[in-house]
Amino acid sequence: MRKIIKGAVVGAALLIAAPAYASGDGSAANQGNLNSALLVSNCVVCHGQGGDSQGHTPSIDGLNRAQMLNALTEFKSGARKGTIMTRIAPGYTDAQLEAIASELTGN
Amino acid sequence: MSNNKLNKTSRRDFLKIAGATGAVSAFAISGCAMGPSGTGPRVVVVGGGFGGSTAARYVKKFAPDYRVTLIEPKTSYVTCPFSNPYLGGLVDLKTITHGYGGLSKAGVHVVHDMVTGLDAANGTISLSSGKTVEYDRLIVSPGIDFKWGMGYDEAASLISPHAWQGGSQTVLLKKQLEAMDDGGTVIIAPPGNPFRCPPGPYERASMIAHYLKAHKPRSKVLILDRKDKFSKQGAFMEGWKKNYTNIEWVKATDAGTITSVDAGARTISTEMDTHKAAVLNFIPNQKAGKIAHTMGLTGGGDWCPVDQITFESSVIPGVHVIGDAAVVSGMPKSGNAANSEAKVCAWAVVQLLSGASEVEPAVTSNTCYSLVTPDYGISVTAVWKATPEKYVSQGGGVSPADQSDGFRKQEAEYAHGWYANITHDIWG
Repeated sequence: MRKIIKGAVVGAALLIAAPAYASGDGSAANQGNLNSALLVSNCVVCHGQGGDSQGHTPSIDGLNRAQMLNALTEFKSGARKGTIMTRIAPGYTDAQLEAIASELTGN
Repeated sequence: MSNNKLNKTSRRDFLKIAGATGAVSAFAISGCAMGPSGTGPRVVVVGGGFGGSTAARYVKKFAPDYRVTLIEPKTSYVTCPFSNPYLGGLVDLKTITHGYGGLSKAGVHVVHDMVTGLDAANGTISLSSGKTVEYDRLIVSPGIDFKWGMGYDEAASLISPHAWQGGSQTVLLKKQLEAMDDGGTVIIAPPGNPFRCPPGPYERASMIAHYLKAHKPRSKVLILDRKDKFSKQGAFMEGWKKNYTNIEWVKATDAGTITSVDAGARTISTEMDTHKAAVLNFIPNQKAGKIAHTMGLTGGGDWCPVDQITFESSVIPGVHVIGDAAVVSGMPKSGNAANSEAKVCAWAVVQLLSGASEVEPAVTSNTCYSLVTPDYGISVTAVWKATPEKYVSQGGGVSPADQSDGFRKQEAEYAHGWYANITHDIWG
């Protein structure tokens, strides 16, 4: 699966034309930071291109959008245990996690 | 910027005239058959480390039609990240060495040459081969250079290596560790802030201590610091207490100011004492890489000031600076940070060249693992939001204290996973 690549490799014109996602919490401070290709470019450094890990970090290419979002949301709330994702996920707004889940799963 | 545009118009006129008269112009390199693929704007990236290689790849990924050229003198790159596990015997040199074939396959035009100068008014850089390369936007990832002094200079580093740039320095340090007699002291003298890879010296102490524990059990590591605290300090100290009796850390206040370094005698002197090492690893204070100073990107200082949203130089318009050399408030000088900055910068460059009047501030992150032992890893991570003044932390933190052996082992495994994936992201 190469969903991230498919999602990230889009033409410049499309990128520029893409509207910013509406922020989930509606605050001005969180507007316009949801460009999903850029957001998921940080995920691949541990989980691999397309979520296909080259090493011991978990591959995440088998998850659907609901599973992905559920994992991210649970890491954020602390409901799910982990080593590092419990520290990373709280750094994102709910709207950003939604955008990440969509981009990672191509949905 | 308007001057720049005028000059570019003049240059095009010059090329037309040159073409009409049959003159051969070195300016034409980026338009020749051997140049980069695509028909879009020309982005030239200088420096093939973590920052530059990522930037080249991601400009091409974000905008496949752009003509992207990467200029790097070396044909392979030995990373600083994971050079400590190499010193500890956990990975071999091949594992931490990367070529540029993957970037070529991704559509980046890779040129192995040395940049000798920048003509920002005309949008060109010159190379040691005598060629000139035109750009519409230039991204420079200069890395670091050293502030030699106290008797330690480049010649001294060939005797007692700093090993703070990957390659022959790393190999020399490993050979010296292997050659030393048991019972000796390895002295690591970490630099003062700011410097590349804040947890690096302490991971190095850990990995050398691991090697000594197995092969030279009467030997020890002495860290003579120029600081009173360091990155991931609590996590390192907990790991050292649990795993080692052969590491001693002396903070700057107790060590005293370092006054001289004798690479040949392997001694380091402070205002209080002189310490004799079996292997001396003095790591000098740092500044932006040479090319940053050659191009005038530091504005006379040690580092390169940049716009925090776009990484465009505050000194020279149209030129972006990323990685360790850039002043990025709130972010550490790390390989992963350089990778993240490169992606934000690539994004900004594509937007600017596509006519965007302003670039939206990015959200980005950094993940940094350190190995205390082969089975004991620790990490620090951060998520930031860019603002015009600085990168503001939105979350993150250091590995928590008092975790199980299983937790530490998993972080050690993830450290290897991170390395495999980030290097694949960049050079794969």
